[in-house]
Amino acid sequence: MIDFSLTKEQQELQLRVRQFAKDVVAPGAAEHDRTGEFPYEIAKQAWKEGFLNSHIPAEFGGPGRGSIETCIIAEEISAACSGIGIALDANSLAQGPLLVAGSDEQKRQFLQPMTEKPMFASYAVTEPDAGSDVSRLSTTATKINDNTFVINGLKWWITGGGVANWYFVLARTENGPTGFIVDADSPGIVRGPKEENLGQHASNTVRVAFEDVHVPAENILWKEGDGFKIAMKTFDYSRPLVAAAAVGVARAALEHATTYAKRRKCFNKKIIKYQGVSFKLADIAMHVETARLLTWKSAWLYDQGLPNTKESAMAKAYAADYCMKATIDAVQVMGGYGYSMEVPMEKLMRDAKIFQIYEGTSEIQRTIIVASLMRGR
Amino acid sequence: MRKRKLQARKNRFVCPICHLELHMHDVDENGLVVCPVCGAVLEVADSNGHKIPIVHNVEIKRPQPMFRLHTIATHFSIGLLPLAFLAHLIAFLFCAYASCEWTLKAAEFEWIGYWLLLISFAGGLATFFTGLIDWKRKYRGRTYTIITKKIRLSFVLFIMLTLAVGLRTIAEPGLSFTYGFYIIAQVISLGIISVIGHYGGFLVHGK
Repeated sequence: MIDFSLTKEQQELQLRVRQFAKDVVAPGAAEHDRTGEFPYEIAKQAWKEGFLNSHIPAEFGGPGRGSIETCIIAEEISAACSGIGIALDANSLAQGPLLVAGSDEQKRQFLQPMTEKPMFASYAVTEPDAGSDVSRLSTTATKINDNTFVINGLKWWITGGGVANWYFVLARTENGPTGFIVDADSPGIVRGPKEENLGQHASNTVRVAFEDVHVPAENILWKEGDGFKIAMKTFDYSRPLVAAAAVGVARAALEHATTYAKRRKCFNKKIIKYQGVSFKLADIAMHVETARLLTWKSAWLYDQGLPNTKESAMAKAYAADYCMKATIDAVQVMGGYGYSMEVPMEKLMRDAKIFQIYEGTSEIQRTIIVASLMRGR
Repeated sequence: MRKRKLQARKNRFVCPICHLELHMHDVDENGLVVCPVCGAVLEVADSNGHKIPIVHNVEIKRPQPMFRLHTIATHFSIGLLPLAFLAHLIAFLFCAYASCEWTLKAAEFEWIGYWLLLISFAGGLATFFTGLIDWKRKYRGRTYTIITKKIRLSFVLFIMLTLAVGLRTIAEPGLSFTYGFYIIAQVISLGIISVIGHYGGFLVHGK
């Protein structure tokens, strides 16, 4: 039996987040895009509303929501501003390894405080020389005694890195890549300035240097050498989320362009009456719908505890690629308005590009899909 | 404070042509607004919490203000009020120089300051009424938030300047509380007139 409808609770959540996005996120979008300022105030309000840290289980004080609900939140907030959306979602990505591989004690120590006050966390895996190819990472964690490791290395393009209270860090020990939770106040952590990027300006992306940072051995997730497995498993959980954010941006592009095309006149007709315009809108609508279905399916599989690596890669690649295409087409529909920085359309186009790059490029997603096909899945 | 700013921003949008910041209160019951600066007839649609202004037409050949009386009167009062304050300041400096004695020179500057204030006040009244005429003619009496703000601030300015003149009539120039309030009323008036002028600048040049 297939049911495409959301439950009553999910529908209520969707309405609540949509209103929040409209009232709180959208009005701040242009300013945060212009200034690049981290949206603390909005994050605080989102935390109060329970839209942050959605995945944290109830036993650790969180709302204990499933992946579908988190995708609903991501889509709605990103439809208003994906820069702010990703600034908030950085927490979910960082919490992923803890949820996947953390002990109860580790979850209590790092997740529970995030439900008691607004706090931030970052996923620090990417390095200047190791992006899609995580196995190239050069950050080291040297064991100096039974209880302590010393981390040295440079992490780059760390979303939320400048505001994080703790990091998930992937570092190489003598047993291979290992996942650590590192307190951001540890001596030896140097946060770089905010990177100037094409889009998603509200997201605080920085480099983080680790210079002789002492980390207790109890902060290792699972065991030494399991880091790569944890990082990859985290993507099964986080990719539907990123796909949902891309769906949100594509949906916003569709809504803006449709709103415009229904009103703008050209040669004495509303431009939506011309097939050259309306077919573009129809194509965007088709892709938004299919991307959402793929996203929700991959999230549903995750919630059921079923393998979703292939589906989450499909959702992420499809949603990201068509988000980019949708925003380009929507700019075209809006003509000069779409190109103007006074109208919220060009921002969507700038914001869309990164979805094809972070959390594994669209090419990497295709590699994952092909690998699954080769294994007969 | 930031929360309030966010709320206020929710109802704002920008004219895509002249970049003047407009308010949803400016939009009429048909969802249309004519930009007071460039005359663009805008339909403002709400899409996902974002305001999308779409130009339908441009109101050209709008009746222009006669003889630019408002402009002249505005600059008259805006220019003279700081001078009035400066003259009072010089009077106090002379007073301080003469060990707090209200000397003849101090009295002369004080007198100049007072008269400049009176002329500025009269200019302000002229500015207000010529502004109302411009509003009715050029802007066809449409209720723009920026014009409403200017009118309200003009009332406050009128009260402050009346208060200043009143205080000056009852107070002897010198170091007294009443005279101190007279100076404070001038300072407040200076602040208000600057803000009104600032809004006026938006109405002329856009953003």
